[in-house]
Amino acid sequence: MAHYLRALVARLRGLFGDRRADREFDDEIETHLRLLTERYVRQGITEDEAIRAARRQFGNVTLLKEVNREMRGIRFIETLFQDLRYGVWMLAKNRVFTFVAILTLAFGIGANTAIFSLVEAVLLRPLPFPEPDRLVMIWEDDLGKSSFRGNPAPGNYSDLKAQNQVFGDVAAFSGTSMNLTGDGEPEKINAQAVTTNLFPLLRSKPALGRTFLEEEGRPEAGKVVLISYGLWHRRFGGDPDLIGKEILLNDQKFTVVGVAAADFQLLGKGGGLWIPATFSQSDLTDRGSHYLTVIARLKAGVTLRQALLPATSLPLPARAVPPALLWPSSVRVSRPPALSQGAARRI
Amino acid sequence: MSKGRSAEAQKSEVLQGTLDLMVLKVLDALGPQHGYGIARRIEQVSEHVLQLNEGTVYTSLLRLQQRKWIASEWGASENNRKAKYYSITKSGRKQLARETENWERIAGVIGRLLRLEGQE
Repeated sequence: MAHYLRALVARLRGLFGDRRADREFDDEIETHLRLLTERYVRQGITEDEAIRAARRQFGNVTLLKEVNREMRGIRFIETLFQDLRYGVWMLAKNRVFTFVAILTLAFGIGANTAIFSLVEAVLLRPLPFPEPDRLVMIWEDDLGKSSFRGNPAPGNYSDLKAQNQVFGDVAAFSGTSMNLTGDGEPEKINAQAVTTNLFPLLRSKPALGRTFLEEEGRPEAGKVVLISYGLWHRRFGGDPDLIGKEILLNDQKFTVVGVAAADFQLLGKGGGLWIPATFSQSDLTDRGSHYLTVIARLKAGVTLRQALLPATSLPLPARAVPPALLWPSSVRVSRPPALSQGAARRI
Repeated sequence: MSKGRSAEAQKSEVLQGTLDLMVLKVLDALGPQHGYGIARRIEQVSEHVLQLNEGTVYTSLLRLQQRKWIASEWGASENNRKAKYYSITKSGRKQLARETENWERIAGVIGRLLRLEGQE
């Protein structure tokens, strides 16, 4: 204990400029010895003798320095403990103050933690997909209100996908919920309907089985489902034979084609399972139902800045449609804020 | 060597704790002094009766400084050498008054005691 304390003192002394105190003390002793020597020399003693006499009169210099140094160190520790004791005593005495102080600290730390968690999730942690900095989200900017982020309508999504020149691919998804019945308790599951190109666009490989095929996005295609890793374990005990089997969703049979990667999540509620989004002919001209979340990957060589220019990214549709339903004059492209975050873990 | 020893034998050791009082008194009486000056003053006043390791003056100075009874400042000594000057503080004066009173009381008691014992 004493050993550690001494080491601590030494270290702290280094911090608080004690080397200067040592040097000053050396100077002081030096001056004193010299003055004494000069006095003896004036009394007619030889220089050597005078030096010796001065030393004798002064006493043990090394010991003195040692004592001096120790006193400074001990004093430091003493005041430290005194301050600590006084602090604790004051806290015990002023209960209300202590309570408020601790509450303030608690709130401060809590708020900081919360904000950091959010910042970490939203800004710092990269998306769990390859080349996450090439991913963007696309929003409609309604009537040029710059802060507004509108969900694109399917007709607009389809135009954007077909006519833009800056994105390698554009995918969309929307939230839905499905009733899972069959073995075990019926369960309402937050699901997402995704365009079949979403998984390839994100370059997310399934943990098991496969993701969707392009033809599975057609309205007449057979019903297939991709389930989350969590649901697979919770509801199906991680059974690898589930692939190819049918499960009952909304009283319809869906074939399980795969299990998504363990860390796969999309923005928003959902994340229990995914089904292909199907767009009918009328859907593809619908510019009024704004319910899609659109993700795109920038084409190689295209910068985000270029993608942000409406002229290159978003041609106006040539079709004659009521003005209010036109593709908005400008569109917002943004970094996916927390594509993978949100309530996805809730399943 | 033997001569030196016999001369020293007649000197009294500085009583434990009295050096601080002496240093305070010197600073109170003479104003700011460096360690050498203090040592000279004590030597002069004691008329060579006290045997003092002058280095211990500095231990005393540090102790007094830590209690904030004296303050220090760098200055130039007589022959223009850098020296640390010590001066007594307000609380140092109070302490000096307290200690002086204390000392006189104890000295009085001891003196009386010794006289009484001598009479028996």
